[in-house]
Amino acid sequence: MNRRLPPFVVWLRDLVVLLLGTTTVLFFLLRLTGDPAIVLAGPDATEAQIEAIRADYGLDRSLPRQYLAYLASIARLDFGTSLADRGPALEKVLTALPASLLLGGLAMLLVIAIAIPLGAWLGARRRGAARAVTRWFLFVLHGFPGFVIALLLVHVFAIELVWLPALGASGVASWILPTVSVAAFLAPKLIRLIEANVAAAAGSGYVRTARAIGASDREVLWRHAMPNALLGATALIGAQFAFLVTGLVIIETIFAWPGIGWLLVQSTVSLDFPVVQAITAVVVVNVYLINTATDLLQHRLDPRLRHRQALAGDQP
Amino acid sequence: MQPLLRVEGLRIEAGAAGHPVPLVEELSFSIAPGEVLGIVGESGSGKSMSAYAIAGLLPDGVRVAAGRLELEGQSLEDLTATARRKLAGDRIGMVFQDPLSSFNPVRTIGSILQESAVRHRRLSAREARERVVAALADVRLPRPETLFDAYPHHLSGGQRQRAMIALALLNDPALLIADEPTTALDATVQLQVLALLERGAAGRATLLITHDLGVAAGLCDRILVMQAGRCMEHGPTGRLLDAPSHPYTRQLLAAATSLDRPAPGAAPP
Amino acid sequence: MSGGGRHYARWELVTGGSLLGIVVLLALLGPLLAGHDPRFMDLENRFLPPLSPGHLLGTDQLGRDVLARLLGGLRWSLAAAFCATLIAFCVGTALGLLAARSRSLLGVAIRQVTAFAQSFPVFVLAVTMVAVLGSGFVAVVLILGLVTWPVFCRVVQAEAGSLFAREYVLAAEMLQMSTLRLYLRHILPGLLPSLSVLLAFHFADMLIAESALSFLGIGAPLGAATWGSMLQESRAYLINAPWLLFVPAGAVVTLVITANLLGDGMRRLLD
Repeated sequence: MNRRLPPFVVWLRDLVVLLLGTTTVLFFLLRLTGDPAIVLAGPDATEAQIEAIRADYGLDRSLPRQYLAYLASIARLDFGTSLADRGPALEKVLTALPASLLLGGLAMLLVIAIAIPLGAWLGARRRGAARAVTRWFLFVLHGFPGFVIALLLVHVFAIELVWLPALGASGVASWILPTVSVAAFLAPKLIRLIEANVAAAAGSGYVRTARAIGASDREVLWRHAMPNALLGATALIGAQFAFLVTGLVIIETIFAWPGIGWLLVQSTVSLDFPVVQAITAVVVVNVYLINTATDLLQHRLDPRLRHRQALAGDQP
Repeated sequence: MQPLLRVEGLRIEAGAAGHPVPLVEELSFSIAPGEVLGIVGESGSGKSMSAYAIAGLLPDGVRVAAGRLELEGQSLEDLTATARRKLAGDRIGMVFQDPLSSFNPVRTIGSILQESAVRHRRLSAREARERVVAALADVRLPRPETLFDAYPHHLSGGQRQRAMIALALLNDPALLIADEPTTALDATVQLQVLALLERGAAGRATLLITHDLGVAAGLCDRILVMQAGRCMEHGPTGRLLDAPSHPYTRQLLAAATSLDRPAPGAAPP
Repeated sequence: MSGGGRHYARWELVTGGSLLGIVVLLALLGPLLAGHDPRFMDLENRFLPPLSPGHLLGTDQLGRDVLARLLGGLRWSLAAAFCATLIAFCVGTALGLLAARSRSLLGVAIRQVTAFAQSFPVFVLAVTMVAVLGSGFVAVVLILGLVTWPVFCRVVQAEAGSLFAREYVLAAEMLQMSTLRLYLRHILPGLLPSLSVLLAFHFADMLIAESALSFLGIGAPLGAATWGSMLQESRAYLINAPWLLFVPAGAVVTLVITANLLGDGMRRLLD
């Protein structure tokens, strides 16, 4: 008998497995270094402190027992205490999360705001010097890693022109450079995808039908082609947003933006392993949730995915 | 009677300006109101291109190089692009070959028809919707109010083609063009769609494009045979079928798939 | 494929290929061309601008010749990106072939891991691992390679899956062709088109990832001449010595664009 689990259960199960896998990898990663107590205690720990850590984390027990204790503490959402400020690691991470979400959200909005009109224009217009130059520019831009863009923008706008602040997250002015950096890095791919979708739509049968009922070029583009083009781009937008967390690591470091990327680097360099662990777990859950949201959105927007049965019967 | 559509010396070319490739040459015909003309030929004969030229739907890189196109006494070539566009969906209604790809997958069937009604008849959305539902009922589609909100993939091929015909006839066009309207459909469905077209052709000038002489014979008053962009023979259906004068016509006759040509008006509604 | 597309593809491949050739040549000839030791600090001649005598690209804050460091960084980046891509490719392809074929628990496990890897923040994991496991060329390459193999695995799974179902493969199997021959003559050539494209883009990704890691100060040993660390160090001197930023930035961008050209060209050719 083939019994299907309800979708929510499957979703939850996959999330749990994902978290389990991640934390297990981290568990063994730590033990690969030799003596986890030394790593956990931090670089300046005394012998006594190391021993205390060893007792605290139960590192003298057998490996299976350690693993179970570890899983139990994860289930309690206890990721250990940060070496830096002695506070709970998870709390530290969750405090930093909103800043990353803000930067990511702003950047995504900017990317979408640029990509839609630009992609539409490039896809609709098949000729022209302006188009060729723009595509060439986007190709070159695509070759710039995000942090290189950020460094160059900082140099031009903060150092040379002193128009905008180079650091921090206080005040709207300081949001501009980080947001633009991230957007500049993500935009070329999305623009290219929308362009390709619009061009594909232009040669389709339904666009011909639209012209046959008298739609102007603008109406064809925005009422007939773009809905299809954007639908096809939803997956990419979702994927980009999900992975923004990863991409933000460097950008946040450059701008000293107090998000989890910046926290990750700080904690990594200072070997604050509990925090690193908590960040990895939070990021994994975050990505999973965003991917889920993207899937749901696609199902909501794409009529082909929405309804399975035919409305009318099968008669010709 | 003044012909509704007059085509004289039509020449369609493709390719770069320096090296044009002729797709259609020296094509001339006319259609009077109430008449059905069938253009028959194999693929590549230029029959679809001729239809697109009249409807103003030539693809990129293909253009009318010479000749005169007149609809209701007005030269189409003299019109501005905007004026030409106004005719599409209003004075000219077109039915395409593949109903699946001809409807936008992310828009409801009804919304497309509604767009046409609003644009050409200046109706409000609600008035347009009523008109569309009536049109869908007219082509014998079941539960037209519900179907209005259906998406193309909910309908069968035959149903989509009916909707396409409803779209073409929505604003009571003077000229109806059907480009291979039954080619993508099952045999059983073809007859019903042809019957619909026949009903729709009443009182209009109708141009039917097809590769199947049998289909043309069932519907058309006159037939024009095309090969390699040129007209081979042109005459009343009965005369053409009984006594074809051109060898190519004879070839087509031999190859006609539907030998049991139903007489016009005999197909079930 | 349209003639225009093919023409464009050829242009991309030729340009990308030539650039790659020049880059590899520079990397191989590096020590000879530079004329200076990248680690030698000439404190009398700090912050020399480009086109100064003896220092084509100037010197940095410790008097080190920028060109020498650039070429050193080139060799590091090329080698790291190449090796990481190679590891990811080998592991990913091997596991992908296994997963496409096998109905055993191993196959299921690989398929599941590959599916989950899509949700995974790879860079975060790489940063964590390098921090914990230590730096150095081997560590960075191994980690980057072992963290990104799912990319290849996913593609190989899908494509090999469809290849195995093709008639000529079924025919070969019926003829009892040896497995090795089957793989060499039918499967791998069938995978080659999409794998080549993926290799180029993955190489670009590894370039960026490696320079990002060394920018963060993770991965490369202290004082090593890598583009990432050059970029990091340049930040303090942007006003006096902007070339310290532009030179490595230009180098990274050029190399990534080269890889993108090759990838794009191949993809266009194979469409």
